[in-house]
Amino acid sequence: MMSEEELRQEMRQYIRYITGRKSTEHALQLFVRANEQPSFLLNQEEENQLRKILPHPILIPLIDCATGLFLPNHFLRKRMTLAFAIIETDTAYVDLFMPRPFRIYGFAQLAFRGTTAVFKAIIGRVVLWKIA
Amino acid sequence: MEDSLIRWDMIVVGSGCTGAMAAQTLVERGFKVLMIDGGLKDEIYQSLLPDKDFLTARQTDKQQHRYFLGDKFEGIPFGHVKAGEHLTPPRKFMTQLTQQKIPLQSSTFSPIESLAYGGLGNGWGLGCCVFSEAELKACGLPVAEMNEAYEVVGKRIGVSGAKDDAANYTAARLDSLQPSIGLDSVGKNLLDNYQQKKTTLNRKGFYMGRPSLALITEAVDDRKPYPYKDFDFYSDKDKSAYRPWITVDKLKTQANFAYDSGWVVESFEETPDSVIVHARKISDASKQPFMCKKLVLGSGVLGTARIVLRSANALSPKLPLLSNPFSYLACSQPFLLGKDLDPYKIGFAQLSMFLDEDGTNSYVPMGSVYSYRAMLLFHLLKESPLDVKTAHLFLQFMMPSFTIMGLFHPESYSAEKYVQLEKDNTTFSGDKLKVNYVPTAKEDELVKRNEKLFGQALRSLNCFVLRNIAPGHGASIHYGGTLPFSDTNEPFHLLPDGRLCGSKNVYVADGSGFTFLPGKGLTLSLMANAHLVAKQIRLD
Ligand SMILES: Cc1cc2nc3c(=O)[nH]c(=O)nc-3n(C[C@H](O)[C@H](O)[C@H](O)COP(=O)(O)OP(=O)(O)OC[C@H]3O[C@@H](n4cnc5c(N)ncnc54)[C@H](O)[C@@H]3O)c2cc1C
Repeated sequence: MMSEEELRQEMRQYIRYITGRKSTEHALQLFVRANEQPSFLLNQEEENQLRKILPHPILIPLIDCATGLFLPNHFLRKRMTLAFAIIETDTAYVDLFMPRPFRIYGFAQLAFRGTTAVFKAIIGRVVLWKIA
Repeated sequence: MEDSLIRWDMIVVGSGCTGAMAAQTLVERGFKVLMIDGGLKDEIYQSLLPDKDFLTARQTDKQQHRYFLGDKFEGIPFGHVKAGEHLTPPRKFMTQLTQQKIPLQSSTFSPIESLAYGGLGNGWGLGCCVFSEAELKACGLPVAEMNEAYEVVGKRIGVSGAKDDAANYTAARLDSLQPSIGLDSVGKNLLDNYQQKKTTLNRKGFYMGRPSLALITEAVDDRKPYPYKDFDFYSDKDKSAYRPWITVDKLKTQANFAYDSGWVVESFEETPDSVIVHARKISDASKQPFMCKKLVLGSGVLGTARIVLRSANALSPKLPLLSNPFSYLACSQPFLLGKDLDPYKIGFAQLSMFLDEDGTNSYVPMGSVYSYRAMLLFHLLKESPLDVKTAHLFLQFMMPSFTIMGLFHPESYSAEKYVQLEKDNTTFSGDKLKVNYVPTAKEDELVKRNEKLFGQALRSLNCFVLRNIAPGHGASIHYGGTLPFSDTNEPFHLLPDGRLCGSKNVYVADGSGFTFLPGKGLTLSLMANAHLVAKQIRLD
């Protein structure tokens, strides 16, 4: 079983990555609570992989891209979706989930992100293969 | 059997749309009616839902994770899209305990069934359509009587809509029609585009307009007009949406009606002048017989199939099955990209689009158009083949332009679509319903063709299909046809008045008798048929 501190550390990294903001206690607690549910329990192998990733927050974007593009059913994609859902329903982050105004800059940002995501995904795929 | 020993003239099984309508008619006719039902209710979420609009709740309610995600985080979907997955935590009670108490096994069909107070009607999208003469005939339903029954049911449940281009296909011709709800920008933009292109589209057989919904826009008794709070998938506090429990709650105040919940009816047995209904308590599996003069089954098509097969002690026959093929077209209207969100959004269908290629109103697929907000972005994340970070940005841009079309196709019988009851000593009832649902290649082709035509029609309205999502067979939640109407008194059929062939006192009020399922929403017709069945039952 992952310890509570490990789970909080994991969620802190997701929050920082997805929102660029600090974590709220509320979101951290919810993530810990979600991990008590049978549908979110990890098996030993998944725990081992997660423990290898946690000390290196820099890996999160790579793994996100790899799972998003190549491995939609990967357990890490499931955890990031859980984190995303918790963040979305936390009043502290609600503004980040409202529609964005149409700006060329925004589209350029999206296009840039999409392009780099492919490269990150390839590296992320290698990382996942290494830690498996 | 002594007449005085039989306390009830009628027992109605089920409190869903059909059970509720049948019971109301029987109670109004003065019979003593007992309703036996699964009767499960939501005990957790209703009290949590705020009396605020969606945006205010999103910004201020610290408890929102409970109703959006669920206390067990059951609102977060994973894996392949399945029927019922989109039910929000406050609606999930609808399907509670079904796998344990009324098990179903299939690798080709995943339906939703209910043991709830109000049945599937707790979550139905309220879409109401009046079937055309050709469709009624294909369903095995009497045209003139059904047309009268539509009016009765329309008045009972309250239907809003508009007499527009789609009026031939919706329920807009009902006398009691209330005005339509407003449109949000998704619906308005698409309808404006349709007005400009309608000559070309009509020539191809496409008609678009406001859907008829069992949603009131003017107060009726204690039901308030639609409040535009965008909690349509979560709460029914205002009772503006018709839910069958509204009818049953009212019936409970009548002296000749009683409601008994917490039961799974297993079978019935007929004596010359009565019916004995065998039920098992959900909580402790204890058995109890109930006695009545006539039995009316409104337990949903699959539920009724179980009860009838078990009662005939017939484990082997295959009963045919109908279920409308269904898919979602996830679309975007680029003109709306980056626009501010409307002050209100509407969860229910905004528009309906019908394809009547030969103009006979006999084979008409239907598309229901929705905007997207109240289900939140995390539901879409799973469907996007992007990393979370890019998907987040992408979805924020897209949100105001998201347009979802739910596409329903007409459905006829074919050989590899059937249900069967099979012994299984490990289950609550000692058996399980097995479903095989494999459409023919021709049926699949027709569905693909319809999807393509709807996609093209949407494109001509500047609405572009991003993804075609197939949630699998059974996902339409429209079922019928297991006990086809027939006047030849064959076993496992229904006579035109709803009586089970071979029985004297057992009637079926749900969609089991329908011999065809039009693409249009069937529930108004289910309710009209239930009323008709109940209207015709006589005590000899
Ligand atoms: C999300 C959703 C959206 C929908 N949208 C639409 C729409 O827009 N338009 C439309 O036309 N249709 C729609 N439908 C379909 C519609 O809800 C159903 O067609 C309708 O509710 C069926 O009613 P019913 O009474 O036949 O069966 P059910 O609703 O299944 O009711 C069955 C009842 O019987 C009881 N029961 C079952 N088995 C037993 C048993 N063995 N013993 C005791 N009690 C039993 C249950 O407790 C329940 O009360 C939708 C459904 C869902 C879930």
